[in-house]
Amino acid sequence: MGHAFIHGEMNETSEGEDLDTDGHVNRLLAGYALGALDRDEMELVARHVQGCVSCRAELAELESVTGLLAYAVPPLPVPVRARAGLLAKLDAVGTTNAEQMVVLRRPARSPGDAFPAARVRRFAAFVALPIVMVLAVVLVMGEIISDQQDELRTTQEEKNDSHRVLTSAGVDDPRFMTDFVTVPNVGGAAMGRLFLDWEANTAMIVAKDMPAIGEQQQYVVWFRLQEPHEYARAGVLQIDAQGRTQLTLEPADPIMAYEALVITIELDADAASPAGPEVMTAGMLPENLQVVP
Amino acid sequence: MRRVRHGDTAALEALYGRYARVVFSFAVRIVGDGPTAEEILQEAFVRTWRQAGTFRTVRGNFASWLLSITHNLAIDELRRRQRRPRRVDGPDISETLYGLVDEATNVEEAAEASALRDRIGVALGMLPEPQRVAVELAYFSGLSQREIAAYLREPLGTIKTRLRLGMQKLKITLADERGEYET
Repeated sequence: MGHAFIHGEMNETSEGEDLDTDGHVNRLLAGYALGALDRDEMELVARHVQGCVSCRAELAELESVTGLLAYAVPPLPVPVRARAGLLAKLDAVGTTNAEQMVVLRRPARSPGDAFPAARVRRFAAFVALPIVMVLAVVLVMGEIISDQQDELRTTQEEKNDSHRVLTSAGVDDPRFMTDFVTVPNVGGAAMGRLFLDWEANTAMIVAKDMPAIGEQQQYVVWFRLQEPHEYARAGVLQIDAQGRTQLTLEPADPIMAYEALVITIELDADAASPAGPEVMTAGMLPENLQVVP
Repeated sequence: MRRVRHGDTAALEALYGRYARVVFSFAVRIVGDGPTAEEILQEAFVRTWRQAGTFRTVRGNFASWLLSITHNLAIDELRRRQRRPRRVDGPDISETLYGLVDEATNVEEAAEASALRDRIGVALGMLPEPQRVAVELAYFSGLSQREIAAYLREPLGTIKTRLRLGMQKLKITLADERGEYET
């Protein structure tokens, strides 16, 4: 790049030149990195960079710039009470984090593949404390979760097919949960949790702070298969005025056949496969899961 | 982060000691008040704790990951307040300082951050004023291009161009810092 460019001698242009003539989205990437695009533009860029190496590389460079801008702020002293507040919050969410909570082997899919009872006993002892801590978080999620867990339990009593497989694997109470990972720039500060009940073959999504979307758009939920990477449409999320949502899913296929649950924003509510930007993803493999008390 | 992933609270405290100052300052810069920034600081580290297992899949180093979480939280807070841009200088944190200052946050990081801040300040200072203002309104005030245009009473196309040119120039002038930062 020439010196003249650095000193701002390029002319400012007029509106209407956002899209590159070669089909790329370079002109939108700065706004995307800064989080300054309208939602439809954000979606356009998110979709494009998924399949475009050069635009993805350029975006990574611009995002590294925005990552540095935080350091431009003059330092301020941190009140000591903030540390105390953090420790109190950690106590509330549990002193063990998601990764430390046991990695449970994927249960056998046939009675002949059951995993050793001794391992299950060690697992049960190891997670005893985290379970208690996690319960506190679940309670904080409030009435919504409570109601939905009741619903899950009810459904669980009605379904026994997969129970035989799981109990043969030594799992007494196959209910698990995991937190969604939110995609930066699309999902904002959205947080969500996925509850799975392998026994009832039921999944429940609870999320909050979901970004508002356009009237023509929908949050669509997909199960993703491990191999091949195909998607199965699971449902549509209805978001309330506070950005909260909940949805219970009862897929026809066993949920343990899926590796992840993905939420995207779609213009076509009836889309058969995801085309819009990914908002958040929850891994459904055993290493992603924690036991629900 | 490996220790945090394995549930080591002392490791999380060490990260807090190292990064709390920059996270808190960044949050104050965006939301403009100390108590809210404290909440954001705490929530950023709670999410670090809860999502430590996902860190390895996120591009960039830990600092960029943590600051990205902080930015999202702070901008969402701004948007909850109906997206009013704040002054870009001198947020009032006197209320915050009624509490005692945490001396354990810190010194090693402060020295590194200070040098980096100087270089970023120079890079921002090299931008023509309209471009710098547009970039800051987008990044620190969470305004969209359209909102910036309305706020500054400038054509939308002009704002788009300012953002694009401003970011391109920062990318060039901060090339060394970006390389260093990513490592």
